[in-house]
Amino acid sequence: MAQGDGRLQIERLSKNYGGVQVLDAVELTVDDGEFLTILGPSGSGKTTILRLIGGFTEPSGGRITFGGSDVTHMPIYRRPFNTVFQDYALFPHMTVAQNVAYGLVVRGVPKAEITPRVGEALAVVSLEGFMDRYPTQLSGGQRQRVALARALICQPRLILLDEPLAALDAELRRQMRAFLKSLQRQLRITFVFVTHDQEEAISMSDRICVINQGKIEQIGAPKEIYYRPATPFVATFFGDNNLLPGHLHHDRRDTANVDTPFGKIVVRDPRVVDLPANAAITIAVRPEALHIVAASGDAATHDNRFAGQVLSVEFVGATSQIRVAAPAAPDHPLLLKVPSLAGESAVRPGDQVTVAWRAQDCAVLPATLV
Amino acid sequence: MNALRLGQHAAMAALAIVTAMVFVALYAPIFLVALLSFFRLRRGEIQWDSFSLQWYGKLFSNEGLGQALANSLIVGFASVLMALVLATLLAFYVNARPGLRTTILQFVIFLPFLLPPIITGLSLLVFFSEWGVSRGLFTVSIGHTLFVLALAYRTILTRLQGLSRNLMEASQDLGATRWQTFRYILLPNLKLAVVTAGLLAFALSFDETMITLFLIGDTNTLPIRLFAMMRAGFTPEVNALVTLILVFSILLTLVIARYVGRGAIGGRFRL
Amino acid sequence: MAALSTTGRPGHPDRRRGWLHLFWLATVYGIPAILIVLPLLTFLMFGFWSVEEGRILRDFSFDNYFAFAGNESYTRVFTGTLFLALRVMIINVLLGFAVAYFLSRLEGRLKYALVLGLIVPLLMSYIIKIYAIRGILGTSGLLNKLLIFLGILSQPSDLFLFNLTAVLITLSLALLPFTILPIFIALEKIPANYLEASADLGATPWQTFRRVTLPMALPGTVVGGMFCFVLAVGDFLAPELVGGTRGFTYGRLVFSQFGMAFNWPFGAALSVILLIVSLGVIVAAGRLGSPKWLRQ
Ligand SMILES: Nc1ncnc2c1ncn2[C@@H]1O[C@H](COP(=O)(O)OP(=O)(O)OP(=O)(O)O)[C@@H](O)[C@H]1O
Ligand SMILES: [Mg+2]
Repeated sequence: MAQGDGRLQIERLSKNYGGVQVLDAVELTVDDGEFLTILGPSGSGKTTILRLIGGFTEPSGGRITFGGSDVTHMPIYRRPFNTVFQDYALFPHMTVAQNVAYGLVVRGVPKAEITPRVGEALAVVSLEGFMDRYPTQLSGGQRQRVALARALICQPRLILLDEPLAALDAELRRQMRAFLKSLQRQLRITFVFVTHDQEEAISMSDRICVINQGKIEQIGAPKEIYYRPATPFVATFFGDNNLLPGHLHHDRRDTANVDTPFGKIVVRDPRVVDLPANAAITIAVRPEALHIVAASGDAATHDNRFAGQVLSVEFVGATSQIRVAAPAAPDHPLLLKVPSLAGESAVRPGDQVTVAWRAQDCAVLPATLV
Repeated sequence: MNALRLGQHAAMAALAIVTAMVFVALYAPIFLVALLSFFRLRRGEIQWDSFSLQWYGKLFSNEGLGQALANSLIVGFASVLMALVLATLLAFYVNARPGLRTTILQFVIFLPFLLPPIITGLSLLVFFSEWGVSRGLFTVSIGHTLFVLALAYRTILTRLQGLSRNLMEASQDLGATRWQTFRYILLPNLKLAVVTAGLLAFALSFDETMITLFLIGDTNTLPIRLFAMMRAGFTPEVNALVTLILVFSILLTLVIARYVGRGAIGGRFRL
Repeated sequence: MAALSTTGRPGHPDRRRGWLHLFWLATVYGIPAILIVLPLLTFLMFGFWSVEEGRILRDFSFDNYFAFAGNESYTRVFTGTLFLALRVMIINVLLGFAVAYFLSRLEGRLKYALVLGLIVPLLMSYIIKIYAIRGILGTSGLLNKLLIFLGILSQPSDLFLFNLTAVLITLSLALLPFTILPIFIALEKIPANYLEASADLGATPWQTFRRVTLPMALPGTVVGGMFCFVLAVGDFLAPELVGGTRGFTYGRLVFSQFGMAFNWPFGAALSVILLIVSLGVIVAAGRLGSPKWLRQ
């Protein structure tokens, strides 16, 4: 396969198990050298996508191409991909060195070449001293790194990882996250990484693909997904969000007025240009974008403001979560996150406050709340 | 790529043929015996118009047969009972103290099962005659107990080890006394294993011939009686008896499989 | 109850528990010692004694062993039986592996039914199996008919009854389920994950079979082969029923010492040799059957 053309293309891929549609016409392109994360709740079909790419399962429909050639029905062992399994699947009857050498041995690489390459691969994951151990004699993190070295030694164009960090403790997980990311940059291998941990997804990925119930909800860079969620599902699955229903009024190019239960709200989101006037939409505002301001604050920095009553104040560590209800929309209390500072909190339940935010902090979702 | 897939299919087809032949080889002889208990054979050809149940009738008038069957049942029940008690005690002990001593103990328990039956039978024969114990159903029962012990022990131990320590600890954590834990957690979980072990042991004992031959003296169990009849040659009467025993064995196997097979349905077997 | 207290902490040394504990130990070690070890030792002793005018002479000597080693007809039967058992084992391991592998690839009801179909002959009375097999081996038996039907033979052969070939066929068939089942269980225990990982790393199906399936199924295969060998080498029922005069085996030689020849000490010595062979095979299988990676 020509170097440089390692683009993975998934077209209308679907899978059903006994009539149950598990994946529904998935479209996804992964660029050469990209770190793409598939993120979704449990049972959403993440593992299924990965197994289809790896060739462990036959799709019910659709096509997978890699570097332009169709690999949909290519046998597993011919695909230039390797998988790091969730439970590692290290062969119990082989030592660490034998496990790592496996991919070369089965390809008939001469012995003289295998030994140094195994050494190199183990050096990459800092496990040089563990050659002769059996998998049962390793810790979870060490096994994970052996699995990685075993996949890397095949010099794959693409590595598939199914929640590889799930079995590790928090500290080790953080270390491995950084390690994996730097390894991927250094080797310039495409990574398709599955997780249901959004922090993991944000911190490692070039792009994130959010999937729910077998359908792709949104694909984009972490910031895009975070600040410009495409659907209510993405807006709420990915961190906390305030969702407000409303109707759109076009004004200028990317700035619009929206009628909401709170009154008129100004939003600035490039996506409104494409929406018809008076469309039913949902506005998403991050809790940290909302501020409590003086009742007569300057209107220049905050496009939107409303007066309301504090319902509750909750200390959750670095931030405090405050709920404020507007008299006009008592059933849509807004959530605010403000930095926690030592001493008495500035607001108490029952206080009358003014909440303000900027137009560009509003994401417009071209969909109504269900 | 297609050539490789084709090769795989061809290999599986070859294996399927081998498997089919093995099954035919395993079952054809016994079907033939069953057939010959109903039909007469003349010059190597089955006479299909000669159906009769007379040989089954003859069995009832065979004097020694009832006694042999009764003896087999006595020996079966006695040895199953002894083996189960001993196997349970051993399983608890070994489970509680893993170590060199119990490894050796385990090896010793397994000897009568692993060694050729002729050795187990002979060693007990010599041993009993040295101590002046006369041969009979008692000595046979001891022999069978030792023979089936290993399998019963293994079945119970596996279950015992499968019960995670967590289960007991959870029970005690929830306020159960040791007795309650034994009564409500351990016992119900072991019951299935003990019943399975008992059935297996009975099946083994009921069919055991080689050890029995050395220890039986001048009475009979069913297999010994059968052995004597078989040495005399083929008779339709033997075929009838063999067919009856086969039916019994198959029923017993199905019952055992029901117990062992629980949890083994959906695909993967764990024995 | 006492059972449970031994599974827990060592416990308090109160008197009642002390007695119980002693009883416990006596049962657990005493019964196997008296009923398994002691008989084996007794019979080891017997092998050094001799018989004279129908009475047993308790003088220690190696005469029985010399008598065995010095008589070529005995040693020939011995080596012949070893080879016979070896051939039975090889045939059965090859056939057994093929069948076990095929069954392990199946799924659902068919698999369950076929495995059940293997357990039925496993628990079937051994002499009944031999008797049934003998029924198909004769000149007018099913085997001859089949071979003629297939055109392999032109007329019935008497090669299949009352000789060592008959014993070989009978033992192979009768012991086959004992070989298949351990192999099948070993194959079933290999997680699908490992096979996927192997293919993922570039191994062809054949390479996966050779490098992952085969070594991981080896322990079960060794156990299956061991069962087969040990049961075949010591058997006397099958040779007695289908072997005729030409199918004489070591097991029959031992058996005859306790029957017609009535020379218990010599019979004991002969079976001590059998015991050594069997123990050797069991221990070797134990080693091969639990490679380092299986033991933690
Ligand atoms: N072999 C199968 N047969 C039937 N249904 C299956 C099979 N494998 C997966 N499914 C179903 O497909 C859906 C998606 O499963 P998948 O394993 O892809 O989820 P996932 O996103 O990886 O979840 P998790 O985060 O829990 O691992 C689930 O509803 C699951 O029940
Ligand atoms: Mg998954």
